[in-house]
Amino acid sequence: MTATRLALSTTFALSACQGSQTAFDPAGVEAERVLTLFWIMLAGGGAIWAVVVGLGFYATRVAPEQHSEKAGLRLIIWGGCGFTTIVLAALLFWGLKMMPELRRPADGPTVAVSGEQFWWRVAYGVEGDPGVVRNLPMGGVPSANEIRIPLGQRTEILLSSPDVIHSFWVPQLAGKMDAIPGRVNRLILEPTEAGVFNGACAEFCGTAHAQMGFRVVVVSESEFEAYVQAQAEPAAVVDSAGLDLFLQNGCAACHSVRGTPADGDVGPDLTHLASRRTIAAGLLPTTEENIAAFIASPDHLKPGVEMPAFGMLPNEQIAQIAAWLGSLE
Amino acid sequence: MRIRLVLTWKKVAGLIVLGIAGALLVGWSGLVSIAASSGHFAITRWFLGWTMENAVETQSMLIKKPEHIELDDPALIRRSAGHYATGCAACHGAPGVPQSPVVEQMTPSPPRLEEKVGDWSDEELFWIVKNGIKYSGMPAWPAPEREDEVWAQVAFLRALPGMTRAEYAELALGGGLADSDVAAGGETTAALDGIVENALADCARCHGRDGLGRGAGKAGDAFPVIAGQPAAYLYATLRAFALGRRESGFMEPPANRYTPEVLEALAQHYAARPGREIAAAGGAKPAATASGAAGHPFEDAPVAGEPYNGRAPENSLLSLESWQDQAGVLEGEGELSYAEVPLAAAAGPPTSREGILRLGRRIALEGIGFRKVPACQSCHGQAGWARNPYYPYLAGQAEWYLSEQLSLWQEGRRGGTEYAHVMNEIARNMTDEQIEAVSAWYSELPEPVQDERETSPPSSR
Repeated sequence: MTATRLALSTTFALSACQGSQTAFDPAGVEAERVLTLFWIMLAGGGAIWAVVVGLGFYATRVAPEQHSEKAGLRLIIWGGCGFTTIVLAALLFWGLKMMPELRRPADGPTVAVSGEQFWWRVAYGVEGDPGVVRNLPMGGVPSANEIRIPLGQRTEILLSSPDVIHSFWVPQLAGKMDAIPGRVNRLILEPTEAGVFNGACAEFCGTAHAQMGFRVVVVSESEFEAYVQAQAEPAAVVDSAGLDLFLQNGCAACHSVRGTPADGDVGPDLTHLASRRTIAAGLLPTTEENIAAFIASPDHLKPGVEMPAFGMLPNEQIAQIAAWLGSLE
Repeated sequence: MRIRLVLTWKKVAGLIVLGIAGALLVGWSGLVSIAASSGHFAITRWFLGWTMENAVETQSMLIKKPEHIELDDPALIRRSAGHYATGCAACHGAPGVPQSPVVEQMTPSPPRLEEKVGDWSDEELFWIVKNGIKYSGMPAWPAPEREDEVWAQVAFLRALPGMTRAEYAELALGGGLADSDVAAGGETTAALDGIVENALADCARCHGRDGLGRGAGKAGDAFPVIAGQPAAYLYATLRAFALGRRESGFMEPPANRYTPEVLEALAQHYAARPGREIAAAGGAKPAATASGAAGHPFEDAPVAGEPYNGRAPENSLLSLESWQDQAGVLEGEGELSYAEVPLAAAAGPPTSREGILRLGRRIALEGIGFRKVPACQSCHGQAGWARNPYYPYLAGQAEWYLSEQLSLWQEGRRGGTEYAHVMNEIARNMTDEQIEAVSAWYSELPEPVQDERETSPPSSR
């Protein structure tokens, strides 16, 4: 089984574009359970398949003669009803037993994540109330498209959406959870390894659905605290030609850069853009060139994106804006 | 004697071929009378006229006048008067403007419309103005997408029969020369040569020399405010009209009449005029009538209980009115989407003028983040940080104009400068109520909005 497992995970790891996006290489408690369940069901399914095919083979090739009606009836009752009931009941029991463990309350931070066409709004340090809630809690330290969580703690992700249904999925850490407008869903992430894990939107949400990715970065507890503290700080560079152009052309209508007059809340918060690994929801590595290319023609890189293209600005101006954004560690 | 005629398919085909050959022969002979001078035979004239009338009647059956359009609206009549003078009067004449003997020699000769418009229904007039009439010299509307303009033209045509010569001159000809005396501040623009002066007179028949638009009273906002808009924006817009990137039957013809150099001089002229809100300080625009209460309803001070800037402070959440619900915004959206307490059920869009203005103010100053509607002022304010010169200011702009343009954007039919597409997504995310509200708020804005993010608001804060 280990060999199969290895072969399967290699295949899937190779097909995933930036490495870690396979449920066969779990790095979180829930993902591990899901994988175990998967193997058990696969093994059970395989066994049942073998028995059914074996019986068919027996009945047609080995002993094609007429069998007694009594024996047939017994087989149907025990094999068709008894066996399936027992197997399904066992699986149900197994699955139900797993649930309270996975639903155990978080002991780590609470992070609000809002799926929006076509990116992820993130807020650290929100106060989440227990029970059924319709809207994500206010406040917190805003960020986007990259979520840091501490290793060895159970982090609670509060999920919602202002537009359509999205689904939050980090295959290596946990199962999928929908982000539904008008209600808050909860998902616990309990990572068992540090590292960078890919996440994706797993519910078709519009044209750019396939480009609505994110990263989850698992770090130590102290690193996490330091990170959130750094994210809460205002922008590092608040005096720049790039900032002037950013404001002049109306970028601030949608984007916030704390510490500057830019306070738009339509698109992602860019205060610490350069501290994130990717831009445009997991699409491209954060480099000045990529930022400039995205400003000039976002719809080319990410068809269906809601940000208008600013390719009509002179290239030097785009470069200045990109240089400034690229300096916002 | 009886002739037996047996009809066969061969004979029918032969007849058709013979007919086509005959028609070609007649055309080829060069003897067909195409001379306008000879006119039509009476029966031909009757037949052509009868056919045309039937066609217009039948094909205008599905046209329906939009409910918000009132054909006796003086603003509507005034809006299309200048276009009539430059586009229609040359053939059809106008009050005090005789038809040229040249056009009288056309076949068919264009009728004087004062006498004719009574024969047609509103919908039929709309059809004729929009589509034109083949073989008669009557052109179609230059911007088929702009039906709002066609209705304005119909309104003018309806007003035409009773119009005196003086009224027509006032509406369509820039009020004669008297208007040039009131060029804003009495200034004259240096280096305006003859052609620019002519072009300016052309613009001024609608926009006035001060760029605030002609007309008073009910027709006071017949035209968009172009005074004080950035020259780069005005020039790029005129070029967009000239190149057909922005559609308008009113603006495409004049923008095509002049060279880019002249358009640039015109843009410079109007950019240098004081904008409406500054003029308003001098009393040129009557105070807004929205609220009888002392003070303006949208002074730059926070309304009690309303979060002023950005997100609401958490402790004031429960004291907030949920008026946002009333704006066609779904429950829980906007800044309150973070609220733990669900808002009351939606009560529909606001109906009072004051409610509409409050919603408009919210959209203009703060936007509705979760509806992906950013604050208009981020780009369109006049005060605050330096603006991109391609972004117009909106304060004091005509309400119908703002809502019409936003609706065009909403439908993806509003071109313009190279920056015009930025508005596509924004307008698409707006509801009709939000468009109405923000247009109303800007139209009543008497003073430039101090950008609260840049400068501290007035003492009232």
